[in-house]
Amino acid sequence: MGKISLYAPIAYLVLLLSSLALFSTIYRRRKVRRLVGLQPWFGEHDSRDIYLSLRAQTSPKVPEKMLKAALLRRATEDVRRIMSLQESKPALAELHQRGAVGDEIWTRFLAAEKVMDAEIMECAGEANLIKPAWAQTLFPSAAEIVQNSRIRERLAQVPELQKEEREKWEKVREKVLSELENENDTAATETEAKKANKKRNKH
Amino acid sequence: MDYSEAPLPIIFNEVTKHVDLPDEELTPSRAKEVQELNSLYRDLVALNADVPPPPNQINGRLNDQVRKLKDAGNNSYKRGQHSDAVRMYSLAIEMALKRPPWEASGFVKEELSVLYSNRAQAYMSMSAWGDALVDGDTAIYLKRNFPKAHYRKGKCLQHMGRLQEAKAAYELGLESGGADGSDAELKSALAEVNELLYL
Repeated sequence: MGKISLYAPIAYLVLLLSSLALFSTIYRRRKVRRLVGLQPWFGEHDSRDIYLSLRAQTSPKVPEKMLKAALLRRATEDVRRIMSLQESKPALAELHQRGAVGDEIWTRFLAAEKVMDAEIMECAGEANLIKPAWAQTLFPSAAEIVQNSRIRERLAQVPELQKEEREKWEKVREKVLSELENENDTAATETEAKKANKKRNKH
Repeated sequence: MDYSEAPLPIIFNEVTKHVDLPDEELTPSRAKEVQELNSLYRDLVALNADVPPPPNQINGRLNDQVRKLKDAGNNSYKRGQHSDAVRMYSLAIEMALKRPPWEASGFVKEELSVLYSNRAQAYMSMSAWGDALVDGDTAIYLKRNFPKAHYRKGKCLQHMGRLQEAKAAYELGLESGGADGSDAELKSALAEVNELLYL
């Protein structure tokens, strides 16, 4: 009797803990498998791939400033992605809460945030390796590159827009002019008709 | 990071001084990225420092060149040589866009908005309403609280008979919250276009 009463709780505890451990490993493994199968939020990070490829190259040696330019391009894409995540988060969170957006999309979004956090850290680390404390100005510079390239894209459209507006106005003007001419013609014929009438009346 | 694939065979060309990617590795987005990288590299090489300075440090030499071209445009305009003025303003815009892309975009916008607005005025004096309209609109895109640009945009629209749009432009100009002494002009223009619309 004494033996049973001593081992029973221990056996119970062992069984409980091992089943919990088993459950947790299986659960975590499934979760990881689900996350691995998730589609990434963003497409290829080309500028990061290019930077890492250039850094790995030993012969011919890539100039220092080319590496810096490549890292700046990488930071620029990072800033663009962070901005896009920040912009869509409030709306997406609300849609997810209301059930309009499924769990999978929400999980993908949260995963993208984590990936971007790690990416920013890595990029900052690279910058500080190239030049101490460069990370402090790298991202502000990158943010201006994002803005400036938007401005340049808009300004590049100006000549095309001007051509459109010119042609549009030219058409309207021709139409108005021809209408005016017609009016003048009819007005002229009317006055001539009146004169002729007057003449006839005189006679 | 999940970067585990083999590196891209990207090569720095010692002769042309830019990087190339073989055609078989070239996707449209990579092609654009390589082009942007090479352009940024040229800007960095031209820079007299090892990394870009903080964004609020502006290239003073370019400032002077842009200002000189703008002044030349203003002088041509005052002499009544409107097409010369347009040419000078266009050159000033081109010069302003040569700024390295890491410089403060706020400064660039301010500088460019004045140039586009002035070019709009020069086009208006040549009765080139379509060209002037787009320049005025661009000036507003660069700087929303710019009443004078709204006024010029409205005038162009009015001249082309687009009275509703002109009315909207004047109203936006009055609401824009900027102060460059154009409020009186905007108010009388709005009254004028209202009369044309409702008579």
